[in-house]
Amino acid sequence: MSLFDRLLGRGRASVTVPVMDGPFLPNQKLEAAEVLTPLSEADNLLPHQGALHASSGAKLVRLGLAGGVEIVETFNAPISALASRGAALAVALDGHGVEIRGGAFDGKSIPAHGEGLRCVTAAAWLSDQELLVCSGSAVARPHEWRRSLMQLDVSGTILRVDLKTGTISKLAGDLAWPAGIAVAGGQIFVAESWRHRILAMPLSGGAAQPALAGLPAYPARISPGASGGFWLSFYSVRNQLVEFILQEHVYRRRMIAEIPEPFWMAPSLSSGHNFKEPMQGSQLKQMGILKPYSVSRSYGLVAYCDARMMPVGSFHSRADGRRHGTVGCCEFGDVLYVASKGSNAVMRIASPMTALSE
Amino acid sequence: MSLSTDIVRWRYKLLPDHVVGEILTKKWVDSAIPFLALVLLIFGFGPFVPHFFELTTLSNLARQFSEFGLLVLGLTVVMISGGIDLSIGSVFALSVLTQLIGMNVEGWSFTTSLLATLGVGVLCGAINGAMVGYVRMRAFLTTLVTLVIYRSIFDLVFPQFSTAIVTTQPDSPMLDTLGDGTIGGIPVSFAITAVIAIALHVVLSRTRYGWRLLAVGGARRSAFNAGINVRWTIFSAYVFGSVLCSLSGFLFAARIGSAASDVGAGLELQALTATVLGGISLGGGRGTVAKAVMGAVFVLLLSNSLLTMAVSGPGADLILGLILILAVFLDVRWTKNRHKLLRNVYISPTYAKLPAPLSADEGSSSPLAPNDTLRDVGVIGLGILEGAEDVIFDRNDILYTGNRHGDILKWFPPNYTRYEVLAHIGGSPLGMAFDRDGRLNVCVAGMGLYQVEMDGTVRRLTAETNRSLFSIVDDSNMKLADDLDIAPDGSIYFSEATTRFEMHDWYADALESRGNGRIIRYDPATKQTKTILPDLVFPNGICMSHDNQSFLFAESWACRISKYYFDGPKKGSVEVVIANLPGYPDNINRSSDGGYWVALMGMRTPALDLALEMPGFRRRMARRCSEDVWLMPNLNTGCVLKFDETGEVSESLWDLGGKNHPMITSMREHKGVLYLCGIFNNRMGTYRLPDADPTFCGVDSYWGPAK
Repeated sequence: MSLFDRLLGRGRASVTVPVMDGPFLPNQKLEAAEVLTPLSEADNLLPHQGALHASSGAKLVRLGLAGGVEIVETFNAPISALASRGAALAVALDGHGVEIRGGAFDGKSIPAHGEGLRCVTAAAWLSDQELLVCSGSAVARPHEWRRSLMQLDVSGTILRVDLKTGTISKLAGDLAWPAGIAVAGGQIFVAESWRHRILAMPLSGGAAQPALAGLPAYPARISPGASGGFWLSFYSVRNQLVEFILQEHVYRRRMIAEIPEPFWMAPSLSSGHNFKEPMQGSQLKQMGILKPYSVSRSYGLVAYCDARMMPVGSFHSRADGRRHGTVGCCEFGDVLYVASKGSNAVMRIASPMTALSE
Repeated sequence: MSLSTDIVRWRYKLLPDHVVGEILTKKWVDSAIPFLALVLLIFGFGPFVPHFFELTTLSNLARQFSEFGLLVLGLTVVMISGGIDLSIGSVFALSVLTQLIGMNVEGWSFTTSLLATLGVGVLCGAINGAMVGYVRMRAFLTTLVTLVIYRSIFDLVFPQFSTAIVTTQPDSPMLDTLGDGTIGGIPVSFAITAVIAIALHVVLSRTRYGWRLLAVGGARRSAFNAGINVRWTIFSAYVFGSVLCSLSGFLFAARIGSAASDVGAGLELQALTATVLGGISLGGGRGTVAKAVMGAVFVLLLSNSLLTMAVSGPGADLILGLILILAVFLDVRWTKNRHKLLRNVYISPTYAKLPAPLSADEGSSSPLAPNDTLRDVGVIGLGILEGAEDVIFDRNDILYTGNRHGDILKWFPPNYTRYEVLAHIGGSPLGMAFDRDGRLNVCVAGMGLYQVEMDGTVRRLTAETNRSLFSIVDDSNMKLADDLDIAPDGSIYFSEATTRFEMHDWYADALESRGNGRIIRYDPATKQTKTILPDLVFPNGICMSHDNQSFLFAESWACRISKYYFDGPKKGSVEVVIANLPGYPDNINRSSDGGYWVALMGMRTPALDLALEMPGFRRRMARRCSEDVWLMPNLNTGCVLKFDETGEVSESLWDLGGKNHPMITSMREHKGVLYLCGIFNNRMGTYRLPDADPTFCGVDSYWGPAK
C-alpha cells in the first residue's frame, strides 16, 4: 500500500464495503423464522445417523424435529466443529484436537500436538479414514475469532488427517481464518473469512482459486444443500469502521491491548447488551425506532449458493433484529435449520428453496 | 503518560488546525492564490529586472495600468455575468480611432469626442449584449465574430485617416492633462481608473445591481426563478464592459496621440489572462474588483519585465499563453475541489483524554450500578410529542415542552393527554426556564434566546453576543443556544454548545471534543449580552445552585460538571464539581431534597475513550468513513443521576438498551414525579419517585411560593 494511497485514502487504503444487493438483498425472513428450540451457544448443526445434531458449548446434543433437546455426550472443552460420515462423527474440541465417535475409528483421539489442531474451525470427511480440517489460526483458538480478525491473522491452514496412520499433511497455508469446508464435485471449497471469500481447490492438488469473492459479510461454515448447492452461514457483516480500524494499526493494537474484548469496535455474534459497547452514528434510536438499515456489529445471515458457488438468495436478521451470529446451518428433510449463536436459539425455515424466492 | 502522548497533546494544544478549515470558509480565500502569485512575481522578478523598483518605471506602469486596468474591469463585469467578451481589443481600437479622428482630424471639442468615443463603446456593447442576452447566442462565438467585424471596420477606416492623424495635433489642455498630467504625483488617468475601480467595487459588492449580476452569472435559471430580469442584466453587462473599453481607448489615445494599424491587437488575450489569473471564474458568478486589479498588475508587471529583459513579442505572448492555461487549470480545480477540501479539513478533532470514569459496574453496590428502573415508566404523548428536549411546569401543573417543529406545547393535567400549541417559534426549542414574572424563557437552537408570554406572544431576547477578539469564524451570532437558567436578579445565563457547527452537525462537535462552546449572560435590565465563559467543551445543562450565588453547568464531551460563581466571595471563579462522569451530561435541574438531577445523554465506551486520545485517528475516520459509522457515545442508554452540592452521586436511574428512553436529554421533578425527555424520542416518560416531596414545584423553588 503506497504512502500516497494511505494519505488520500485511495486504492487499497479505501474503506468501502460491498452493499447488500442482488442475492444479498436484505429481508426479515431469518428474524421472523420459527424457533425450534432455545439452545445456549447453539452451533455446528448437522444431520448424523438420521437425526439432527448440534453443539451447545461442550455438549453434543440431538435435537427433536418438533423440539426437545437430548444430550448425547459432554466433552471437556467447547465443541468447535463436527463432521459426520455414516456412523462416524468427528468432534473437534476448542484447543484439544479431534475425537472420533462411531465408525471404524470409534474412540480414537488425535491430540492437538503443537499448533496443528488447536484451532479446528471446520471439518469434512474425505474418505472413511481421511479427515479434512480447517485450522483457523496458529495463534488463536476458535472462540478467539475476533482477536484473530483484529490481529490481521493469516496463519490458517487446511490439513488432511489420516486416521489410520495418524499423519497430518498440509494442503494449504497462509489463510485468513478458514472457517468452513465442503467437498463436492472433485473440489474442496473453503470459506476464508477475513478475506470475505470462498476458495476452491482441486482434490487432485493444485493452487486454490477464489470461487466467490467480495462477500459483504464474514463467511463461516459451508453446508451442502439438498438441491446440489451450498448453504453459507456468516459470523457478521462487514462494517466500514471495522475495515478502517484494520488499517489504523496504532488504534487497533491499543484496542486489543487495553480494552476488554466485548467492548471492542469489532464484529460480534450479538450486540447491545452493555452500555460500554461501542455505538455508531446510525445506530441511534430515532423516535423510538432503531433503523433496520443502520450499520451493525452483529447480523444474522445465511445465503444459498449454487453448485458453482454463485450466490442465489439469502435470509437475514438485520440491525434491529435479534437472530444474530448465525454461524451454523444445515438442510435436513426440506427444512433449513439455523443456529443463532448470538441469540442462543435454533430456528427452522420450512421449504427453504421456496422461501428464498418468495 | 509517555513521551509520545505528551507530544500528541502539545501538538494539538499549540497547533490549532481547526483554523485552517475556518479560513477556508471565508470568501476572501479565493483571492489568496492570485495574491501569492503576485507576491512571487514581484520578489522573483524584481531583483533581476533592471529598473524594476524605480519611480519612473512605477509611474509608467501606473499609466499603463489605468488603460489596461479599465479593460480588465470591463471584462470582469462581463465574466461575472457568466459571459465572455473577446471583442474588447477591437472595441479598444475603434475607440482609439474615434478619439483621434474626432480631435486630430475633425477638430471636435474634448467633451464631444469623449462622448463620441463612449458612444462607440455603447454601440459595440449593445450589439454584443443584444445578441448574447436577448437572442441568447453563445457568448464565445458571438464576440469572436464581432471581434473580426469591429477589427475589419477599423482596418477599413484607419488608412483613410492615418496621414491626417499624424500630421495634426489637437490643441486641448484637458487632453494634455489626461495624457500626462499628475495630481499630487499621481497620473490623472490612474486616478480616474482608481475611482472607477472603487465605484465598481461598491456596485458589485454592495448594490442590488451587483448582486443580481453575480446571481445571474452563478445560476442563471435560479436567478430567473427569483424574478431577476436575466436578459437585461446580461445586456447591461456587455454594454458596461464595452464602455469601460472605450474609455480605456480614449485614455490611450490621449497619452500616445497617434495609433498604429495593430493597436489593440491581442489585448483580449492579455485581459483574459489577467482576469482568470486574478481568480474570476470562467463559469461566472464569482469575482471581485480586487481580483481583477491583482490580475491586471500581474500581467502588466510580467509583460513589462519581459520587455525589459528583451524577450521577443511572440516569446512574451507564448509565456502569457502558458500562464493563462495554468490559471484556467487552477480555476477549474479550485472551483471543483474547494468544497471537498473544506469538508475534509473543517472537522479537526483534538486531544481529549478523559479521566477514568466513576465506576458503574453491574451488580456493584455503587449508587451508579445499572438498573432497569426507567424501562417501564408512564408515557406522555407517545407518537405525538416529537423531540422534546426539555420540560417545565408552572404552579398549576401545566406541562410546557418544545418539539422539533419549533412549537412550544402546553399539556394539561391530570393525565397530560390533551395539549395545545402555546406558540410557534421555529428552530429547535431546547432548554426552558420560568422567570419571576411567569414568562417562559427558551433557548432555541439556530436562533438564540427567546421569551414566550403566557398569551403566546413570542419575543426575541438576544441572538448576538460580543465577538471574541481572535476568532476567525464570526462567533457573534448564535448557532446552538442550548440550556438556560435565571439568577435571582433576573439575569439569564445560557449555554451555547458550539460555535463551529449547526445543530444537526452536533456529532461532528462530539468528534472534535474541543472547547468550542461558551456560556453567555443576558441582562434583561440593560438588554446587554456578554460571553462570560468561553472555550467550554459543549456546555449543555445549566442550573442555579440552591445558594443563589452560583450555577452548575455540564460540559458534555468533557463528562464534567462545574460550578461558576456569579456572586458572593468567590465571584468569577469556576470549580469542578464532578470531573469523571461515566457518561455525557446533558441538562441539570433541581431535585426536591436540595440536590440536583442530571441526565446522561449517552454513556462512555472504552472504544471511544481510546479514540479521544487519538485525534489523528478521529480526523481520518471523519474523512474516510460515512457519518453513519462514526464512533459515538453509547446513546441508546437512558440514565439519570442525582447528586448533591459536593458532587456526590446518590442515586442512578437507568433504561439499559434504551427500550423506552434512549438518549435522555433532560428531566424535571414535579410533585413527586420525574419527567424524562429525549430530543430524538417520540414520547415523554413519567417515573413516580418513591421518597420525593409530593409538593415540590420548580417555580416555587426559584421564586418562592405563589403570592
